[in-house]
Amino acid sequence: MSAPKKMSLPVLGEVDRRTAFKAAGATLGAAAFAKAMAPVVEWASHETSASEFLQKHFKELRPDELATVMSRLEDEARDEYGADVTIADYRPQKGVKFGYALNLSICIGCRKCAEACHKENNHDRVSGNSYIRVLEMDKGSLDLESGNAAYDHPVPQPDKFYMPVQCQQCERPPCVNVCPVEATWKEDDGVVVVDYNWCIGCRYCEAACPYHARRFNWTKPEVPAQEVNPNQGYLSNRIRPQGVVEKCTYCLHRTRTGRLPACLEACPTGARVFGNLLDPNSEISYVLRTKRVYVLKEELGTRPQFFYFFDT
Amino acid sequence: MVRTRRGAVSWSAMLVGALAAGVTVVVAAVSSTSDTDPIVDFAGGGGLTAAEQHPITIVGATPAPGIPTGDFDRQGNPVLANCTTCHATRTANSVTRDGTQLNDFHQGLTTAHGELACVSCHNPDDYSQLRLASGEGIEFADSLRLCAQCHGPQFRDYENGAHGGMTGHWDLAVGPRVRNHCLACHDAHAPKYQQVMPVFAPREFHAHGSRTRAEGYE
Repeated sequence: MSAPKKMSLPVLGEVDRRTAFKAAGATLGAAAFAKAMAPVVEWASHETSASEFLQKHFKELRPDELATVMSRLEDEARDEYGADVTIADYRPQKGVKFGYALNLSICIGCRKCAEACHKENNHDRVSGNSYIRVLEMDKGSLDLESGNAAYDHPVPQPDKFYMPVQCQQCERPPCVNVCPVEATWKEDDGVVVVDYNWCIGCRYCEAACPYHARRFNWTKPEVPAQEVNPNQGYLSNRIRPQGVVEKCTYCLHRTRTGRLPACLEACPTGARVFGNLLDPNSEISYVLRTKRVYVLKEELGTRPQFFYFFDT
Repeated sequence: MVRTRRGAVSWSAMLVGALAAGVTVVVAAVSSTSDTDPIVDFAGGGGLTAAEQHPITIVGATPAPGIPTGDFDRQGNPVLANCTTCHATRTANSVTRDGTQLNDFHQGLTTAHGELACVSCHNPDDYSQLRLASGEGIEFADSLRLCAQCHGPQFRDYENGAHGGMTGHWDLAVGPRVRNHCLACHDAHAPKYQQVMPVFAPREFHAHGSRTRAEGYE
């Protein structure tokens, strides 16, 4: 019987076959483990600071803590996007409940609202995201699911009408009910908001919304520095992180300071009416009082605060 | 709020700029003293008194038009001839409906506005003015009243803030608002809103970049 064959490894010197395989296996295992853990390590070291990891739920933040959070987010916008932004926490106004109405007799389907939303809300430029989807519908039908959002011809076509759909700010929002971590809720002025720092990205809300109004940030949003809208709200148009859900907030950073939403200002035909439902003299109250308005998918009982009507 | 009454016009309007780009009419608050109902009453103040409310500015009214003479002034602006330059010495033809029916001038002007004749709106007694159906002559800047006499439902909604584009503030206690005049969107001679190409085609998320459906994404 010959002596066991000796193998040579540069580091270990003269070792037997078994030891050599053990060492090689351990090395490969360690390398594979490091490779597998690399995304986590990278994420923890670059993407998430300790203060962000330990941040409390929005509703539990003291004002000074929230100020610190917003200041940190402003720094991040400067570091990652090269943009000087101001992030503020805009609160609902007392005696104000927002309502929105859209005149389908007037809308021509030009999609200027969707474009304005894209710019105002710092949406990802690559995916061309917007909170508004304009559906081209056959006259005589109100079937939301048969609408075509990808039309590409002069508008309006004579046999079509155009229905922009965005978040309906439901009184009974199914998206809020399904959130497992309470990262989304309805505020006193009717706006359904998301704390992007609390959202875990499970997309239950996106599945629950009957209006396809929620969007998911599949990638880190890309916005050129000069195109970043610097007027930002913590719960609205600040640049969202990757992996969280976002939605229309009726431009709360504008509307809670008395301004009109960006999609309304962009509408060239004046099809959109926005205002305070609690004010009997407001434009939106006039529409609800005098027009035959309807809401989308009324049978679901979501009670939208977004209304559609035709000229009468 | 602006209140304009039948018979006695009390537009509190200030004309700023006089070029064809459009006249800005600043609508200021006017107190109501008439016994008749106002026919122009811009809502949207939320029950605020005039002092508490920021102004609503209406843009897009056209000034009295002029015909290019072919000359240019020192600033390079075209020199326009007033309507009255020619029309003071000509008798109005009450059945003319279209520029193509005329021998001189206005040939390029085609009309697509119901069965209206030129003098349905233009004042044949004073071509620097428009004329209501009542016979009352009004300034071009007041043309909203002229449109309103036929387009009642649109005007009613306009009064109540539910027709016509706007920018600025929904809450007039906080800030002002700018509203479009009828003529900001509608050509008086062919008022139907024209077809446009839509902007901002939607894209679908795609692992290898986003493409529009028009580019072949299925």
